[in-house]
Amino acid sequence: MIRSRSCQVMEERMLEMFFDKHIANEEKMSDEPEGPPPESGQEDTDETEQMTEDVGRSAVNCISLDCSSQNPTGAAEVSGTSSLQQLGDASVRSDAPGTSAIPLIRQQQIIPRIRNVNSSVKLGCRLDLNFIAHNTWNVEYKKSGQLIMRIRKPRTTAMIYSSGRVICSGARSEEESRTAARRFAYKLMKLGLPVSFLNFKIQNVMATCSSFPVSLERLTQAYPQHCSYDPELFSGLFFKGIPGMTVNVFANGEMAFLGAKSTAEIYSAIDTICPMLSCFRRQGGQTQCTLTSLKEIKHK
Amino acid sequence: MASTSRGDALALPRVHCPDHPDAILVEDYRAGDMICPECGLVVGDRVIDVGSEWRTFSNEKALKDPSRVGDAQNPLLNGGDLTTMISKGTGAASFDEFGNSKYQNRRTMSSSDRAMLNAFKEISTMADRINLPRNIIDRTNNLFKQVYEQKSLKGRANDAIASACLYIACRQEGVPRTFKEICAVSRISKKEIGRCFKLILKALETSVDLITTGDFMSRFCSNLGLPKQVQMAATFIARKAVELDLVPGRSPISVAAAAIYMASQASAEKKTQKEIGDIAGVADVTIRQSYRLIYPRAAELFPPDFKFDTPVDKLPQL
Repeated sequence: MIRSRSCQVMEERMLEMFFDKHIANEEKMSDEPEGPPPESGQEDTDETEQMTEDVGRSAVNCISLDCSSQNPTGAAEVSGTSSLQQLGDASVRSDAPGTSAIPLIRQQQIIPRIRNVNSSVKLGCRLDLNFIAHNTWNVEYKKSGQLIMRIRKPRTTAMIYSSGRVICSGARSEEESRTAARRFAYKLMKLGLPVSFLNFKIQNVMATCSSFPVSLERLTQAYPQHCSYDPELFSGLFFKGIPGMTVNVFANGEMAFLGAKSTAEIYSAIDTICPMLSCFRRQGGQTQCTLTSLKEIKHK
Repeated sequence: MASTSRGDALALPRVHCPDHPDAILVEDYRAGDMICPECGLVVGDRVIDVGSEWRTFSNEKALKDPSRVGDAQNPLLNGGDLTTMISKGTGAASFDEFGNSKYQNRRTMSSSDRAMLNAFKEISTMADRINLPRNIIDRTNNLFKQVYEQKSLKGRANDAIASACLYIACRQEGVPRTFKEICAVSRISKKEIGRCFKLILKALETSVDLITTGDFMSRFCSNLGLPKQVQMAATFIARKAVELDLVPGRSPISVAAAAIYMASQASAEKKTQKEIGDIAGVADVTIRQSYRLIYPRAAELFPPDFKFDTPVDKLPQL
């Protein structure tokens, strides 16, 4: 009995390996990390390398922006600690350990926590949802054309459509989302359907982070075209200054980032917003000083 | 001699003095002349008098205004009032054998603007319920017209758009009404009005100022029947509380309600939280929360010349 069980398990594993190798084998990113800790933000591809340099520079500017400096771009005069200098000059390599790639402001306080990652994948074949519904646990099939399947291991939910599209939601990181999507595809493969794993794309990353208390009224007055704040309707301010993203800013400093397409976008959004928000910091009613324009920080 | 300008359907034929073509002519109503002020030449005679034919005494609610030859509506808002319609007949000849009137063309008056006219009527009704002045109603009508012509909010209920326009107009005029107050006179839910509000701001590319606590004080206090002293004290308290940043993140209406509570409790006219909550549209637990935030520094918040009926240390502590 036990032997046959272990044989089954072995077969399962081999099936999974077969799946991973031949079916779910889309274009992997060149230096994709396996299971990184979510907080240490590893930006590993080439583009994000470039961005972390920029981001590093902006972080240096953040530090020099003690809100009384008039030109934040003149960051050369920063009396840097050794870690800052490391940030400033070191070329960020892709295999560098996570810590040096993260700008100081994030290391110190403002670390985003990713709450939800939505992704979609095409399975490349039409699916008979009735058949799947009858032969699988954990499915809901109420709406015609859409099946809801849930798995436990990365605790996620998938909406499966008869066209073969799968939308996976509820994952806690991009990697997890990919694993979850692969698991769903694998489940369908076990039923005998000719699935493949095409065009996996992260559609949406939602994260929250906690910063310092902010005066939402002053922020609205300063950027009326980007901010939408109605205390009667919602206690948070919608900041739409970053293209493609919305940030909900609350008075106690909590922020929710919606609409990002990747973790890297979230990090860059934080690095754009936090220096700007620091000018509207709530400190017992003191007015803050010169604020750098959002444009300067964005188009560096 | 006299030169007429063609193409002006409504304008009188323009005349100029031959010697002074640039002089602006003076009209003499009694004689019906147009006289050049430079040389005194009578340039046009038998000018049609556009004034009243007979005297009418100011009686605003008079049903018939005899000097009018058309409707007194603002033609700009309705896209021109130059339509001709067939009215209901009066004699026997206007009815056919079954008793129905011939020429039933009264309905299709201005079909494209029918929805807009309905909306104006609705706006007028809503505004009347909360006694809004004419300037706000006019502004609302203008906003509605702009939104309606843009067609970007076409799928939404006209009543919702009208309510949201009313809200925006009040804000723009500097006398904001809370969403709940607009809800009370409209059949639309607060959520829908809020949604339309945001959509309209985006469509018209305007923004509105933030509400402050002082905007609502006079209205809430007079609805509660509080004397002027208390109202001034409440305004002062609310403003001070916001300046000292004692109430971060609280809606200005909640802060105003708490300030009214504190001021009324310190005076002879004490109001309960429930009463204030009913008037302001705020839950009494919310007032309690905001009150708890401002209570510790109550002594600093009162205006210096306030006469306490109940001293600060005897204020209720919730």
